[in-house]
Amino acid sequence: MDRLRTRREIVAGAFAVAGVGAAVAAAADPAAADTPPPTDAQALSKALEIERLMVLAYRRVLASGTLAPDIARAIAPYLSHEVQHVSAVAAALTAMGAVADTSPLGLDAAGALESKHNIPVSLTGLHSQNDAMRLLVDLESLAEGVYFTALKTLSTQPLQRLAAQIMACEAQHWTAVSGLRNPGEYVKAVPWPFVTGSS
Amino acid sequence: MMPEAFSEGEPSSRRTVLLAAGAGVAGALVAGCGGESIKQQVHNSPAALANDVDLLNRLLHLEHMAIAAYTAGIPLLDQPTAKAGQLFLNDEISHAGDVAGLVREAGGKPIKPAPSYALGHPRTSEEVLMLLHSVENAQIAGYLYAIQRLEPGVVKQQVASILANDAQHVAVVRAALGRPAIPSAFVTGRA
Repeated sequence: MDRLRTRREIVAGAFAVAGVGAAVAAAADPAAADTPPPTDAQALSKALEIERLMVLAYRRVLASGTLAPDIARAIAPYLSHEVQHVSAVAAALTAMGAVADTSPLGLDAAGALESKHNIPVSLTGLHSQNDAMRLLVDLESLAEGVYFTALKTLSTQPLQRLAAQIMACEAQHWTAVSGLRNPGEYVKAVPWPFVTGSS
Repeated sequence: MMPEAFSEGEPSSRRTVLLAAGAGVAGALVAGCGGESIKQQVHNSPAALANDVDLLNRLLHLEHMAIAAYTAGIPLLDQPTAKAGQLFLNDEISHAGDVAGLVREAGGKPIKPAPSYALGHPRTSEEVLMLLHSVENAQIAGYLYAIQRLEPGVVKQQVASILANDAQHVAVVRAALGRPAIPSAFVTGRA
């Protein structure tokens, strides 16, 4: 039971630190109630921006030379996943007549996004494997969160399904990268029974 | 897409203990986030709709089945896979407690665990992992189906948070089976 209690403490702490569920809480917040919900295009545009950040991050991490060869081999397929996410979200935006920018995200724009979302490790400051892996874990949390938030308001079943499928994949990435950082420590690879990401 | 049939029955004493533990784990989420758990936030939002009770109970059935599979299978798992199994059992108990809460919010009565489930007769660690892989994928498929039908949006979020956790379980189970942990960019619940 000691391990379980420890895990519960982790859960409680993580929820407190991340401020998880802000979108859900908005329903009970009178001020937030006055804010119109985002349109599908707005929600997906945010997701697309984060996915472009993910692609850039995996490319830079894989090119950084900081990863052990076995770890680089393990995470290399995730770059392909993120590229597929960019394509899928962009296709959904295009289908609704919205603009979908799939161009590579620049470092300045990426840095601004990192600052906006309080990501502590910079894409331009990858000095060690630990830096690189921590960055990926933080960004995977961000990606989970953008879909978690979108699911509150996305209006069509295909978009809801797409968001849930990608969110679950990002959660798998999170687990894999965290597991590689902490071999054999499953509690660090799957620490919480509910995945909500960060914002 | 989802198992059609599910049976009700009186829970075994062991299952009662598990469910009680689940309620405890879910309750632990109360801490943090300004003292308001996701579950409470959902409760403070428009409730799940009454006509979603049947669908939610089908999801609860899958959770009960997963709890039964992990409970029966963990003793057959190799170490340290058994540690992961125990962890995931705790997660499934939390999920069951949460889905039962949604059923109640929708004005329904949560189904009880069946006396037994047709889980086959796994005898080795690999056979148990295959069973868990199948059970987890059934849950993922069920939650994907439900997300498109449940209302309101906060309930979709709640279900997605469980789905994503089950997807994490599948990744670990696949790795333990020696398969690629994350074979696709889109989680579908298909093996």
